Amino acid sequence: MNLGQKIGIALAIAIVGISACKKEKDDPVVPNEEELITTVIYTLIDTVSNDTIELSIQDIDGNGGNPPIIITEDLSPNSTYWGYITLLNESVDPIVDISEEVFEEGEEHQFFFLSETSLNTVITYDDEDVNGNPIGLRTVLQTGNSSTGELIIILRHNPDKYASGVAEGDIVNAGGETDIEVNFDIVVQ
Amino acid sequence: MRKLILLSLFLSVSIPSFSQKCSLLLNGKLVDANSKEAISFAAILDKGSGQGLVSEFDGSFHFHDRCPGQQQLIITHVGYVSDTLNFILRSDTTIVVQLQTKAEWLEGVEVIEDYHAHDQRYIGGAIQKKTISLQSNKNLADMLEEVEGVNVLKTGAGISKPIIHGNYGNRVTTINRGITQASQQWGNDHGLEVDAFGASKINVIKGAGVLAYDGNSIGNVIVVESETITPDSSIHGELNSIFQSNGLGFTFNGLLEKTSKWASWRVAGTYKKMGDTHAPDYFLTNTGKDELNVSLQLNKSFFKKWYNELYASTYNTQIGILRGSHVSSLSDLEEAIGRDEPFFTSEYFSYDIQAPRQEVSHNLIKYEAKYFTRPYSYFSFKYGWQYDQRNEFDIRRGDRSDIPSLSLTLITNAIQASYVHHFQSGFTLKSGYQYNYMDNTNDPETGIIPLIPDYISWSNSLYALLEKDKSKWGYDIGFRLNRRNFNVVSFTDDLPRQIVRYSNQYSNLAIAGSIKYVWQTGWTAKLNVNFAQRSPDINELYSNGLHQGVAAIEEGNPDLNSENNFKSLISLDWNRNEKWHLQAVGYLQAVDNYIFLEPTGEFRLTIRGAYPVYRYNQAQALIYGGDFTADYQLTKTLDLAFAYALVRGDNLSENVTLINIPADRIKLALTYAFKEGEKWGGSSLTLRSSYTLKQWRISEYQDFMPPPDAYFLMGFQATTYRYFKSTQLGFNLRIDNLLNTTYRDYLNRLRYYSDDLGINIQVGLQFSF
Repeated sequence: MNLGQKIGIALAIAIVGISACKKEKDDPVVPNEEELITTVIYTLIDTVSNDTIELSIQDIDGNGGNPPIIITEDLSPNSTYWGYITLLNESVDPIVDISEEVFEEGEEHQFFFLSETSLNTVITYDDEDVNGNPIGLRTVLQTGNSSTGELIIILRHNPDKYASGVAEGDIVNAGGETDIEVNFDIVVQ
Repeated sequence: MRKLILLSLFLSVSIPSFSQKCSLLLNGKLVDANSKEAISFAAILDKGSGQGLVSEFDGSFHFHDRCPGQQQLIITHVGYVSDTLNFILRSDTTIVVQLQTKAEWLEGVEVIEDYHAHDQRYIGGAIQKKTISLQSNKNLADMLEEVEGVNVLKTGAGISKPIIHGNYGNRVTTINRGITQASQQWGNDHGLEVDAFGASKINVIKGAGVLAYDGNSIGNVIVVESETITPDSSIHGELNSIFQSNGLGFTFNGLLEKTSKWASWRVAGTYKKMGDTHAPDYFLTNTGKDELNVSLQLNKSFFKKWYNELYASTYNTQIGILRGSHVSSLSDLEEAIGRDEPFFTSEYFSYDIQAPRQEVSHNLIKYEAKYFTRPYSYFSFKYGWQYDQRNEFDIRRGDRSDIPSLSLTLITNAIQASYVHHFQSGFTLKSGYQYNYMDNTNDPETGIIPLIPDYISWSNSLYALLEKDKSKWGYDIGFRLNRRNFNVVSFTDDLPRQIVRYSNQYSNLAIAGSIKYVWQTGWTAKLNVNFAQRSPDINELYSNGLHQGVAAIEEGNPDLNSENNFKSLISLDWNRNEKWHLQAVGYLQAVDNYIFLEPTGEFRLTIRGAYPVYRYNQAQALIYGGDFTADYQLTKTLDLAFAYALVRGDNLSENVTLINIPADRIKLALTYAFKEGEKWGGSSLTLRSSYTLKQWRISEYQDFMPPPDAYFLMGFQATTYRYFKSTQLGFNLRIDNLLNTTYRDYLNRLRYYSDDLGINIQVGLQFSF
């Protein structure tokens, strides 16, 4: 056997050896998306009548897939509501209440409520983190006369709560990363 | 019979260097120690530059444009015992070398093959060993920026990718010590993950010279070459340390090598630690970096015919990403863009690296064997195993910042078999087969649906090249056939998540040819023409998800076809009286099915607001440009170098410019080289300046913000070496952004968030023995 043949055989063995490598991946484990926020519910309870209104957005499959489902209800004019925010991860079983996590890390989170100028509502914070700064899981919403407009609810992670205006709900100097940014078309009538 | 091959004198066409003034002549003559007859056709390899040549018929050899300092020449000839010369060059020198005869003839062939690897027919540039050591605090891509025609795409202080003639990312292949670098490089925010220290040379090859390299290249290859271990039984080595003021960074490199009876060995290591870098007006918080690399090389020849090399290296880095560049929604990005100073800017310097950050580990084991059937003809076998681990950490809720958001493991096996045959007629045939197998796996512990799915990809390639190179003219022609397969496992977008499998096959053809001609009058012309197909890579096919840094949803496109690239390059060199050196390179690349990330115009509503959706698409594209360099020796000691680079890229289908195309840049450098002394040498002072124009061709809707303004930078460098008996000590001072100019660069993604780096003073000390 000459050298060429030897090398040929060695190569053939090598190539057969490699072709034996598996060509299909095993089924991957589906990641447990425990951190995902799929659902934001802003529950408003009329301080007088105890009527409950829910504004909600639900996007169970995250960034892709189906678009989020947004539900709003009309608010009554010249009323005061207790506002509660609930954050859920409904993509996992059992469902996880993310608002608890946000509350535990209250000093790292803050909700901002931005109303379009046409909308006659005022929202004030009704909770505090360990440093006495607002979180925004609990709020008070007051409506004026009949009006319509957009309400934007933003949750920031790691905002600078001591920056100018931030503790009063002004987002301009807050910084941090947006965890939630949802828009509701509100009708007060 | 080998006369013709050996006659191919490798002209030392020095590309005007912005680093050091090198113009000494080193002449030599080789004689037989007994008969005193001239030895012709011996190979002389200069270890410092990697340059090699062959002794003339009368035994003489001539190195031009030598840098002063320590020299190491390895002289090999089939009929003589190899010799290594160590000496210090201070002025124009002539040496006579006596070689002892030996019975066997194959000792030196590997050396000859080494410098055949970067033939002068090809158009490109290179970084020499000396520069690699002086700049070893930088990463590989940033080093390459000194080569004409190369720009750098940055994603922060520690992460860079080269852009070669307007091509970047998947269109550039890196060959590290003979093996195609496999890592999760498809993302623009991933670096090259190669430690250049210890390499003899880094070549940038453009055009036809790339057919023999595996990878998905379309004519742009970066080759990091390992140098031959000094055939000397005493220990040689280098210790190198660099301090940089910006980021208070330290770099330590060490290298030891020795040829023992049992084998030749080399160990090399690098350690880097850098803290927060500084823009002129503020700290760039969380832009530090740690890096630890070790490599080992073993060489052993059996029966003087069978040459073996084992190379193992590990590269480990941790890189901080500017804290203020972490945005998770479009409104975050818009807010960040408008700021004078990035969010989260700390008043204090720190070495801390917090999320967002990356941890990357690249490990390589290579075995290479060459079996010489005749002088200059051999079989070669290479096996490369690479293990890559990439973890990216984002800022997450609930103590999850220590759980990576992206965790990928990539295992690559590559086998190459090649045969090189030198014909008596002067032709050289290079042919080979390459197999590459990649297995990429996501770790589900991230708790996030991965951006890049799990996949297995394998490819088979065949190539052949026929070359002929004479001193006056040379040419080559070749082809490459490649078939690549992907088997991908992904998840559905909706719940419950189902597993979906995809597969893609691509066949690619490349054909290339090049020709070189040298005129007596000092002109050299080179022409490279190639057609190459590039199949889409995994990110272009299957990426799916949110790209945090730019707040955009990126979607792959499984229906993409291979790109068809047609590229021609022409270069003209002109040398006159050792006073003038001019080089002009022009290129034109027409791409059918050019793959790019296209804004779809769609905004997808999510719970974090609406994100713009980008999708990979194909179009007709045209990339063209030129590099012009001129070097003029004002006096014997004063040298002026000028360079101008221009790149244009157009998407012809939509009549817009391509993104990430470098802005025009003009560079000017003035170097004063001191006279060589007995004890001090290699001394020079260089003043550099560069003017980068505004990338005005990008239209408003193509980017989140208008391209940054033009800027002017100055730099300064002073280098000197102190010679001892057989060792030398080098000192280097380098100042970048001397005027502490505030600027932003179009090719730096951090331009949205912060200014670029301010002044940086670096001091280097180097000891070689």
